[in-house]
Amino acid sequence: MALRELWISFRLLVVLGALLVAGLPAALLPPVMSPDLAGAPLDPLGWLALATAAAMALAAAIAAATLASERRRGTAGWMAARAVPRATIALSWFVAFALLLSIGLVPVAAVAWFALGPFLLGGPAALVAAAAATACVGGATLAIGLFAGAALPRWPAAAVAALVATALLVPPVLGASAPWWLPADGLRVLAELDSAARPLADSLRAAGVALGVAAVVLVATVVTFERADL
Amino acid sequence: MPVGARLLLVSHPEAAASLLLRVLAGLARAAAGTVALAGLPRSDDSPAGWRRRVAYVASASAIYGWLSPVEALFLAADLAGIERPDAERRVDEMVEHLRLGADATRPVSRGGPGVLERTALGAALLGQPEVLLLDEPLRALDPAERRRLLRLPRKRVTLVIASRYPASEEGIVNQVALIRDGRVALHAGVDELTDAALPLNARGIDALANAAHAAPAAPS
Repeated sequence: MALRELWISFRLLVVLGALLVAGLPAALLPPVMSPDLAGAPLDPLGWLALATAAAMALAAAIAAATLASERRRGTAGWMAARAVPRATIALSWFVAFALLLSIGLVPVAAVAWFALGPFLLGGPAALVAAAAATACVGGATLAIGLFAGAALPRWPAAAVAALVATALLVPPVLGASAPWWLPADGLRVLAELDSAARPLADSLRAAGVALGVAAVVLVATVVTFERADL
Repeated sequence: MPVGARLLLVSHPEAAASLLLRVLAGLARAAAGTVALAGLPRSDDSPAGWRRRVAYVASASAIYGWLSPVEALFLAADLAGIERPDAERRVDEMVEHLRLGADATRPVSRGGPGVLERTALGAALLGQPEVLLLDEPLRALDPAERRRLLRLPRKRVTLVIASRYPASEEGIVNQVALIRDGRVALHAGVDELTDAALPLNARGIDALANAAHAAPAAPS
């Protein structure tokens, strides 16, 4: 139901489209930066990670707006009044968006491999691990978006989700240090895949942290949704 | 309320009746107190609990517009735990009862006026609930068709209708309750209104409630 609603409302296309666009930097930028760009803050992998962060922030905002809309127009209430547990309603939206995000990251990783494969340390396994860690980061941002959607009206929820996701995801990509318990490290691993000493270990750690944050935020989302008026 | 009663719920302010139904349906939280319906506490969310025995139809029924009425009815049957062969029979009967015609297989958003409301009522009735909560139901339909649909086929259904237009529920309800300032100011049979020569409208219900409060207590 959730996926069909996303398809018919075109939100599925927007999320997938944003992720596909995120893969463009890897395809369009030269893998070896020219001397003219020596002072550039990011290399192609960095731009790839940044664009993916932007796509994830957009997905979080859409997830927030979706859940808030389901509350406002009563479709969530229609389900809840038919003995569908509220937790199931909230988590089904998470699963739908997470599936979308994961599917959308496959072409991003493929483009990164074809465009930048020879320059990546650790081979395809490192890229797959980094992509998986990125997907976990996406899951955490979706959870944040759904939490905002469970608590706030549609447009404030979308704005808050986008701002929080951007604030969490962008600084690590740009090289700023961040506490280990914040979920954005997977994107940093992706951005530094051409110079990472231990990409597999770093990806695994980043994925674990992101999944932990996603789980905690999802619990908060379910609790908030249980208490919300539908 | 006895089983099978048909109660009209009127309130001042008008939103209080709708809010009460939403609390009974589990869609809004009560600030205090407990709720029990059909003999079960509202906190019992088990499949056999009150949620399967109580059905709620909102004033602005929210079925996904891309669902056809038949799809929505099958979805409601699935959520009610009705087996497929039985669901097919019930959906066929409901489509006929609701008189959906060609609109039955078109998306609800493209159906004629009242398709959404008929579908919402049908989805609620499909699970054969013991208690049916209706919030300003079927306003898009003409009065005669509305009365036909609200004269429910099962005698054992307890019906609660929240309405701002009490006169439109004549012939459908046999009891009336007035909520005023957060309290039940009146709960009486419709025949009491008739006996007092009062019409079934807001003024008549208010007058009966005022008379009930003004009546001296019987000597012990």
